[in-house]
Amino acid sequence: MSNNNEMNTVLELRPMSNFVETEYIKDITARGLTYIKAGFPVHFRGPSGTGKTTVAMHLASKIGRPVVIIHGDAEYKTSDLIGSEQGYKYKRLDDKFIHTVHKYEENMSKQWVNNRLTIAVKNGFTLIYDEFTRSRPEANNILLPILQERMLSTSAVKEEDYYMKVHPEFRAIFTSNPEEYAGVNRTQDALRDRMVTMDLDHFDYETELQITRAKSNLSLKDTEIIVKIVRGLRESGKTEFDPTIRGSIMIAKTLATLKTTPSKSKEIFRKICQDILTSETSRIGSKTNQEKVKIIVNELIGQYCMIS
Amino acid sequence: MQNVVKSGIPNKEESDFIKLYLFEKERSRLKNEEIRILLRLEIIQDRLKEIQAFTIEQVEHLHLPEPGEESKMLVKGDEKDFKTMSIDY
Repeated sequence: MSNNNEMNTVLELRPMSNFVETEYIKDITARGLTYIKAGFPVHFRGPSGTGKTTVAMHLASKIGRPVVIIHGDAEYKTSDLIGSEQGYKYKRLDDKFIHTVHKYEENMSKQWVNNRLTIAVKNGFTLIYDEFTRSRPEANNILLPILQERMLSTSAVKEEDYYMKVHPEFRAIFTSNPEEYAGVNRTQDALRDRMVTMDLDHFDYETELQITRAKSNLSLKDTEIIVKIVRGLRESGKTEFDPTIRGSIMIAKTLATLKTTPSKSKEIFRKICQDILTSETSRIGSKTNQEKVKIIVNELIGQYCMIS
Repeated sequence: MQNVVKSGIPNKEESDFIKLYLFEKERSRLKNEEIRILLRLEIIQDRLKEIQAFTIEQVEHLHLPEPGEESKMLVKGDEKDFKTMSIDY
Protein backbone atom coordinates (compact mmCIF):
# COMPACT_ATOMS: atom_id res chain seq x y z
CA MET A 1 0.00 0.00 0.00
CA SER A 2 1.21 3.49 -0.75
CA ASN A 3 3.26 5.20 1.86
CA ASN A 4 1.94 8.20 3.66
CA ASN A 5 3.46 11.49 2.78
CA GLU A 6 3.45 12.66 6.33
CA MET A 7 5.45 11.08 9.08
CA ASN A 8 3.36 9.09 11.54
CA THR A 9 3.74 8.94 15.27
CA VAL A 10 3.75 5.72 17.21
CA LEU A 11 3.76 5.38 20.97
CA GLU A 12 6.28 3.91 23.31
CA LEU A 13 4.59 3.03 26.59
CA ARG A 14 6.58 3.16 29.79
CA PRO A 15 5.40 2.48 33.34
CA MET A 16 5.70 5.49 35.64
CA SER A 17 8.21 5.27 38.44
CA ASN A 18 5.32 4.84 40.90
CA PHE A 19 3.54 2.20 38.82
CA VAL A 20 2.24 -0.48 41.15
CA GLU A 21 2.60 -4.05 40.01
CA THR A 22 0.96 -6.19 42.65
CA GLU A 23 0.33 -9.92 42.37
CA TYR A 24 -3.13 -9.14 40.99
CA ILE A 25 -1.73 -6.97 38.19
CA LYS A 26 1.07 -9.47 37.50
CA ASP A 27 -1.44 -12.29 37.23
CA ILE A 28 -3.70 -10.43 34.76
CA THR A 29 -0.73 -9.29 32.67
CA ALA A 30 0.83 -12.75 32.59
CA ARG A 31 -2.44 -14.34 31.47
CA GLY A 32 -2.98 -11.65 28.86
CA LEU A 33 0.55 -12.09 27.55
CA THR A 34 0.01 -15.83 27.24
CA TYR A 35 -3.06 -15.30 25.04
CA ILE A 36 -1.22 -12.70 22.98
CA LYS A 37 1.71 -15.08 22.46
CA ALA A 38 -0.74 -17.78 21.41
CA GLY A 39 -1.90 -15.38 18.71
CA PHE A 40 -5.22 -14.24 20.17
CA PRO A 41 -6.37 -10.68 20.69
CA VAL A 42 -7.16 -9.85 24.31
CA HIS A 43 -10.22 -7.92 25.42
CA PHE A 44 -10.37 -6.35 28.89
CA ARG A 45 -13.97 -5.80 29.89
CA GLY A 46 -15.15 -4.15 33.06
CA PRO A 47 -16.81 -1.16 34.68
CA SER A 48 -15.15 2.21 35.03
CA GLY A 49 -12.20 2.39 37.41
CA THR A 50 -11.15 -1.24 37.12
CA GLY A 51 -7.88 -0.40 35.36
CA LYS A 52 -8.73 -1.71 31.89
CA THR A 53 -6.77 0.91 29.96
CA THR A 54 -3.79 0.84 32.31
CA VAL A 55 -3.62 -2.97 32.19
CA ALA A 56 -3.93 -2.82 28.39
CA MET A 57 -1.05 -0.33 28.25
CA HIS A 58 1.02 -2.44 30.63
CA LEU A 59 0.41 -5.53 28.51
CA ALA A 60 1.31 -3.60 25.36
CA SER A 61 4.56 -2.41 26.92
CA LYS A 62 5.39 -6.03 27.80
CA ILE A 63 4.92 -7.03 24.15
CA GLY A 64 7.73 -4.60 23.37
CA ARG A 65 6.57 -3.30 20.00
CA PRO A 66 5.57 0.26 19.09
CA VAL A 67 1.99 0.97 20.07
CA VAL A 68 -0.90 2.57 18.23
CA ILE A 69 -3.91 3.64 20.30
CA ILE A 70 -7.40 4.19 18.94
CA HIS A 71 -10.16 5.51 21.17
CA GLY A 72 -13.59 4.24 20.15
CA ASP A 73 -15.97 6.89 18.86
CA ALA A 74 -19.50 6.72 17.46
CA GLU A 75 -18.47 9.05 14.64
CA TYR A 76 -15.87 6.60 13.31
CA LYS A 77 -16.33 5.10 9.89
CA THR A 78 -14.23 2.27 8.48
CA SER A 79 -12.09 4.85 6.68
CA ASP A 80 -11.26 6.48 10.04
CA LEU A 81 -9.67 3.19 11.03
CA ILE A 82 -7.98 1.95 7.88
CA GLY A 83 -7.59 5.09 5.82
CA SER A 84 -8.97 6.37 2.56
CA GLU A 85 -8.12 7.95 -0.72
CA GLN A 86 -7.73 11.60 0.04
CA GLY A 87 -7.14 14.13 -2.72
CA TYR A 88 -4.95 13.71 -5.73
CA LYS A 89 -1.28 13.55 -6.34
CA TYR A 90 -0.38 15.62 -9.35
CA LYS A 91 3.02 15.26 -10.90
CA ARG A 92 4.28 17.38 -13.77
CA LEU A 93 7.73 16.97 -15.15
CA ASP A 94 9.06 19.65 -17.49
CA ASP A 95 12.39 18.48 -18.76
CA LYS A 96 14.26 21.49 -20.13
CA PHE A 97 17.63 19.89 -20.27
CA ILE A 98 18.04 21.25 -23.75
CA HIS A 99 16.42 24.65 -23.91
CA THR A 100 14.82 24.13 -27.30
CA VAL A 101 13.29 20.81 -26.28
CA HIS A 102 10.45 20.63 -23.78
CA LYS A 103 9.48 17.18 -22.70
CA TYR A 104 6.34 17.15 -20.54
CA GLU A 105 5.11 14.29 -18.40
CA GLU A 106 1.91 14.74 -16.44
CA ASN A 107 0.47 12.24 -14.03
CA MET A 108 -2.52 12.54 -11.72
CA SER A 109 -3.37 9.76 -9.30
CA LYS A 110 -5.55 9.36 -6.21
CA GLN A 111 -3.56 9.32 -3.02
CA TRP A 112 -4.20 6.61 -0.44
CA VAL A 113 -3.55 7.73 3.12
CA ASN A 114 -3.21 5.06 5.79
CA ASN A 115 -4.94 5.46 9.09
CA ARG A 116 -3.86 4.05 12.43
CA LEU A 117 -5.28 0.54 12.10
CA THR A 118 -3.59 0.04 8.74
CA ILE A 119 -0.32 1.44 10.09
CA ALA A 120 -0.41 -1.08 12.95
CA VAL A 121 -1.43 -3.97 10.69
CA LYS A 122 1.17 -3.18 8.05
CA ASN A 123 4.11 -2.63 10.38
CA GLY A 124 3.34 -5.20 13.06
CA PHE A 125 2.65 -2.72 15.85
CA THR A 126 0.52 -3.38 18.90
CA LEU A 127 -2.95 -1.90 18.63
CA ILE A 128 -4.83 -0.77 21.72
CA TYR A 129 -8.44 -0.14 20.77
CA ASP A 130 -9.71 1.57 23.89
CA GLU A 131 -13.47 1.50 24.51
CA PHE A 132 -14.00 -0.07 21.11
CA THR A 133 -17.74 -0.54 21.70
CA ARG A 134 -18.15 3.23 21.44
CA SER A 135 -17.54 2.85 17.70
CA ARG A 136 -20.45 1.58 15.66
CA PRO A 137 -20.33 -2.18 14.89
CA GLU A 138 -20.30 -1.57 11.12
CA ALA A 139 -17.14 0.52 11.50
CA ASN A 140 -15.52 -2.32 13.44
CA ASN A 141 -16.43 -4.94 10.81
CA ILE A 142 -13.05 -4.41 9.18
CA LEU A 143 -11.47 -6.07 12.24
CA LEU A 144 -13.05 -9.44 11.45
CA PRO A 145 -10.79 -10.44 8.51
CA ILE A 146 -7.80 -8.86 10.26
CA LEU A 147 -8.24 -11.04 13.33
CA GLN A 148 -9.35 -14.21 11.56
CA GLU A 149 -7.90 -14.41 8.06
CA ARG A 150 -4.97 -12.12 8.95
CA MET A 151 -5.66 -9.92 5.95
CA LEU A 152 -6.97 -6.43 5.41
CA SER A 153 -9.13 -5.49 2.46
CA THR A 154 -9.55 -1.87 1.48
CA SER A 155 -11.70 0.11 -0.89
CA ALA A 156 -8.70 1.56 -2.67
CA VAL A 157 -8.94 2.21 -6.39
CA LYS A 158 -5.45 1.02 -7.21
CA GLU A 159 -5.16 -2.73 -7.62
CA GLU A 160 -2.02 -3.00 -5.51
CA ASP A 161 -3.92 -1.49 -2.57
CA TYR A 162 -6.85 -3.93 -2.51
CA TYR A 163 -5.43 -6.38 -0.02
CA MET A 164 -2.75 -6.38 2.60
CA LYS A 165 -1.36 -9.23 4.63
CA VAL A 166 -1.31 -8.64 8.36
CA HIS A 167 2.23 -8.37 9.70
CA PRO A 168 3.06 -11.45 11.82
CA GLU A 169 3.94 -9.25 14.80
CA PHE A 170 0.64 -7.38 14.79
CA ARG A 171 -1.21 -7.74 18.10
CA ALA A 172 -4.48 -6.26 19.28
CA ILE A 173 -5.73 -5.39 22.74
CA PHE A 174 -9.28 -4.17 23.26
CA THR A 175 -11.05 -2.60 26.21
CA SER A 176 -14.74 -2.01 26.77
CA ASN A 177 -17.14 -1.04 29.51
CA PRO A 178 -20.45 -2.93 29.29
CA GLU A 179 -22.02 -0.74 32.00
CA GLU A 180 -21.43 2.56 30.26
CA TYR A 181 -24.76 4.13 29.43
CA ALA A 182 -23.74 6.78 26.89
CA GLY A 183 -22.83 6.09 23.28
CA VAL A 184 -22.01 2.42 23.66
CA ASN A 185 -22.85 -0.38 21.24
CA ARG A 186 -23.07 -4.07 21.96
CA THR A 187 -20.07 -6.12 20.92
CA GLN A 188 -20.63 -8.05 17.70
CA ASP A 189 -20.77 -11.78 18.36
CA ALA A 190 -18.36 -12.48 15.51
CA LEU A 191 -15.83 -10.04 16.93
CA ARG A 192 -16.25 -11.20 20.52
CA ASP A 193 -15.77 -14.77 19.35
CA ARG A 194 -12.38 -13.91 17.85
CA MET A 195 -10.86 -12.53 21.05
CA VAL A 196 -10.17 -13.70 24.57
CA THR A 197 -12.24 -11.60 26.95
CA MET A 198 -10.95 -11.07 30.47
CA ASP A 199 -13.48 -9.56 32.86
CA LEU A 200 -11.93 -7.11 35.28
CA ASP A 201 -13.52 -6.17 38.57
CA HIS A 202 -12.46 -3.59 41.12
CA PHE A 203 -8.92 -4.06 42.37
CA ASP A 204 -8.22 -6.15 45.41
CA TYR A 205 -7.50 -4.34 48.69
CA GLU A 206 -3.72 -4.58 48.44
CA THR A 207 -3.60 -3.22 44.87
CA GLU A 208 -6.02 -0.40 45.63
CA LEU A 209 -3.99 0.55 48.69
CA GLN A 210 -0.66 0.50 46.86
CA ILE A 211 -1.96 2.48 43.88
CA THR A 212 -3.63 5.13 46.06
CA ARG A 213 -0.51 5.47 48.14
CA ALA A 214 1.76 5.71 45.10
CA LYS A 215 -0.43 8.38 43.49
CA SER A 216 -0.81 10.54 46.62
CA ASN A 217 2.37 9.94 48.63
CA LEU A 218 0.31 9.76 51.83
CA SER A 219 1.48 7.52 54.65
CA LEU A 220 0.41 3.89 54.63
CA LYS A 221 -1.76 4.42 57.74
CA ASP A 222 -3.64 7.38 56.23
CA THR A 223 -4.07 5.64 52.89
CA GLU A 224 -5.48 2.57 54.63
CA ILE A 225 -8.24 4.65 56.23
CA ILE A 226 -9.24 6.21 52.91
CA VAL A 227 -9.25 2.92 51.02
CA LYS A 228 -11.25 1.21 53.76
CA ILE A 229 -13.89 3.97 53.68
CA VAL A 230 -14.21 3.79 49.87
CA ARG A 231 -14.31 0.00 49.85
CA GLY A 232 -16.78 0.04 52.75
CA LEU A 233 -19.14 2.25 50.74
CA ARG A 234 -18.66 0.00 47.67
CA GLU A 235 -19.37 -3.16 49.62
CA SER A 236 -22.45 -1.66 51.30
CA GLY A 237 -24.29 -2.14 47.99
CA LYS A 238 -26.58 0.77 48.82
CA THR A 239 -25.35 3.23 46.22
CA GLU A 240 -26.51 3.77 42.65
CA PHE A 241 -22.94 3.15 41.39
CA ASP A 242 -19.94 1.65 43.09
CA PRO A 243 -17.24 4.14 44.02
CA THR A 244 -14.02 3.26 42.17
CA ILE A 245 -10.34 3.48 42.95
CA ARG A 246 -10.47 6.97 41.44
CA GLY A 247 -12.50 7.99 44.51
CA SER A 248 -9.71 6.77 46.80
CA ILE A 249 -7.08 8.56 44.72
CA MET A 250 -9.08 11.81 44.63
CA ILE A 251 -9.58 11.87 48.39
CA ALA A 252 -5.93 10.97 49.06
CA LYS A 253 -4.57 13.55 46.62
CA THR A 254 -6.84 16.28 48.01
CA LEU A 255 -5.68 15.52 51.55
CA ALA A 256 -2.06 15.57 50.37
CA THR A 257 -2.63 18.96 48.72
CA LEU A 258 -4.13 20.33 51.95
CA LYS A 259 -1.30 18.69 53.92
CA THR A 260 -3.84 17.19 56.29
CA THR A 261 -4.61 13.67 57.48
CA PRO A 262 -7.81 11.66 57.79
CA SER A 263 -9.36 12.18 61.19
CA LYS A 264 -12.79 11.80 62.67
CA SER A 265 -12.55 15.21 64.28
CA LYS A 266 -11.61 17.05 61.07
CA GLU A 267 -14.74 18.38 59.38
CA ILE A 268 -12.81 19.08 56.17
CA PHE A 269 -11.96 15.37 55.81
CA ARG A 270 -15.62 14.44 56.26
CA LYS A 271 -16.68 17.05 53.64
CA ILE A 272 -14.06 15.87 51.12
CA CYS A 273 -15.16 12.25 51.49
CA GLN A 274 -18.82 13.20 51.11
CA ASP A 275 -18.26 15.45 48.08
CA ILE A 276 -16.11 13.00 46.18
CA LEU A 277 -18.02 9.86 47.02
CA THR A 278 -21.41 11.44 46.35
CA SER A 279 -20.32 12.53 42.87
CA GLU A 280 -18.76 9.12 42.22
CA THR A 281 -21.86 7.16 43.11
CA SER A 282 -24.64 9.08 41.44
CA ARG A 283 -25.31 9.97 37.84
CA ILE A 284 -27.99 12.60 38.38
CA GLY A 285 -27.06 13.74 41.90
CA SER A 286 -30.34 12.82 43.60
CA LYS A 287 -30.92 14.10 47.13
CA THR A 288 -31.79 10.60 48.33
CA ASN A 289 -28.44 9.26 47.16
CA GLN A 290 -26.58 12.20 48.70
CA GLU A 291 -28.19 11.63 52.07
CA LYS A 292 -27.60 7.89 51.87
CA VAL A 293 -23.91 8.37 51.02
CA LYS A 294 -23.45 10.95 53.79
CA ILE A 295 -24.86 8.59 56.40
CA ILE A 296 -22.76 5.62 55.26
CA VAL A 297 -19.58 7.73 54.93
CA ASN A 298 -20.09 9.14 58.45
CA GLU A 299 -20.48 5.62 59.81
CA LEU A 300 -17.36 4.43 57.98
CA ILE A 301 -15.30 7.42 59.17
CA GLY A 302 -16.40 6.66 62.71
CA GLN A 303 -15.52 3.00 62.28
CA TYR A 304 -12.10 3.28 60.63
CA CYS A 305 -10.78 6.52 62.07
CA MET A 306 -11.50 5.11 65.55
CA ILE A 307 -9.50 2.00 64.85
CA SER A 308 -6.61 4.05 63.52
CA MET B 1 -1.87 53.12 -74.64
CA GLN B 2 -1.81 50.77 -71.73
CA ASN B 3 1.50 49.66 -70.20
CA VAL B 4 1.53 46.34 -68.46
CA VAL B 5 4.60 45.23 -66.41
CA LYS B 6 5.32 41.66 -65.36
CA SER B 7 5.36 42.38 -61.65
CA GLY B 8 1.91 43.83 -61.88
CA ILE B 9 0.40 40.43 -62.70
CA PRO B 10 -0.46 38.43 -59.54
CA ASN B 11 1.20 35.01 -59.68
CA LYS B 12 -0.40 33.27 -56.72
CA GLU B 13 0.04 29.77 -57.99
CA GLU B 14 3.79 30.04 -58.32
CA SER B 15 4.15 31.66 -54.87
CA ASP B 16 2.21 28.88 -53.04
CA PHE B 17 4.20 26.12 -54.71
CA ILE B 18 7.47 27.72 -53.64
CA LYS B 19 6.17 28.14 -50.08
CA LEU B 20 5.04 24.52 -49.91
CA TYR B 21 8.37 23.36 -51.25
CA LEU B 22 10.30 25.41 -48.73
CA PHE B 23 8.07 24.29 -45.84
CA GLU B 24 8.49 20.67 -46.83
CA LYS B 25 12.25 21.13 -46.85
CA GLU B 26 12.18 22.82 -43.47
CA ARG B 27 9.87 20.16 -42.03
CA SER B 28 12.13 17.36 -43.08
CA ARG B 29 15.17 19.20 -41.71
CA LEU B 30 13.44 19.80 -38.35
CA LYS B 31 12.26 16.19 -38.17
CA ASN B 32 15.82 14.98 -38.63
CA GLU B 33 17.01 17.44 -36.01
CA GLU B 34 14.28 16.32 -33.57
CA ILE B 35 15.21 12.66 -34.01
CA ARG B 36 18.86 13.50 -33.45
CA ILE B 37 18.11 15.50 -30.32
CA LEU B 38 15.70 12.92 -28.89
CA LEU B 39 18.28 10.21 -29.39
CA ARG B 40 20.77 12.35 -27.54
CA LEU B 41 18.20 13.12 -24.82
CA GLU B 42 17.61 9.41 -24.29
CA ILE B 43 21.33 8.83 -23.86
CA ILE B 44 21.55 11.73 -21.40
CA GLN B 45 18.57 10.52 -19.35
CA ASP B 46 19.94 6.97 -19.20
CA ARG B 47 23.22 8.34 -17.95
CA LEU B 48 21.44 10.49 -15.34
CA LYS B 49 19.54 7.42 -14.12
CA GLU B 50 22.79 5.51 -13.78
CA ILE B 51 24.32 8.34 -11.76
CA GLN B 52 21.23 8.56 -9.50
CA ALA B 53 21.16 4.81 -8.87
CA PHE B 54 24.84 4.85 -7.98
CA THR B 55 24.34 7.83 -5.62
CA ILE B 56 21.41 6.15 -3.78
CA GLU B 57 23.43 2.95 -3.43
CA GLN B 58 26.37 4.83 -1.98
CA VAL B 59 24.17 6.85 0.40
CA GLU B 60 22.59 3.64 1.71
CA HIS B 61 25.98 2.00 2.00
CA LEU B 62 27.45 4.89 3.96
CA HIS B 63 24.25 5.38 6.05
CA LEU B 64 24.21 9.03 5.13
CA PRO B 65 20.96 10.98 5.05
CA GLU B 66 19.78 11.77 1.56
CA PRO B 67 20.22 15.38 0.58
CA GLY B 68 17.38 17.50 1.97
CA GLU B 69 16.16 14.78 4.27
CA GLU B 70 15.59 15.89 7.83
CA SER B 71 16.89 13.81 10.66
CA LYS B 72 14.20 11.54 12.02
CA MET B 73 13.71 9.89 15.33
CA LEU B 74 13.56 6.22 14.45
CA VAL B 75 12.18 3.32 16.34
CA LYS B 76 14.07 0.07 16.47
CA GLY B 77 13.73 -2.53 13.76
CA ASP B 78 12.27 -1.86 10.39
CA GLU B 79 9.83 0.84 11.44
CA LYS B 80 11.51 3.71 9.68
CA ASP B 81 9.55 6.87 8.99
CA PHE B 82 7.85 6.75 12.38
CA LYS B 83 8.34 9.21 15.15
CA THR B 84 7.98 7.77 18.63
CA MET B 85 6.22 9.52 21.46
CA SER B 86 6.74 8.24 24.97
CA ILE B 87 3.68 7.86 27.14
CA ASP B 88 3.97 7.12 30.84
CA TYR B 89 1.09 5.23 32.36
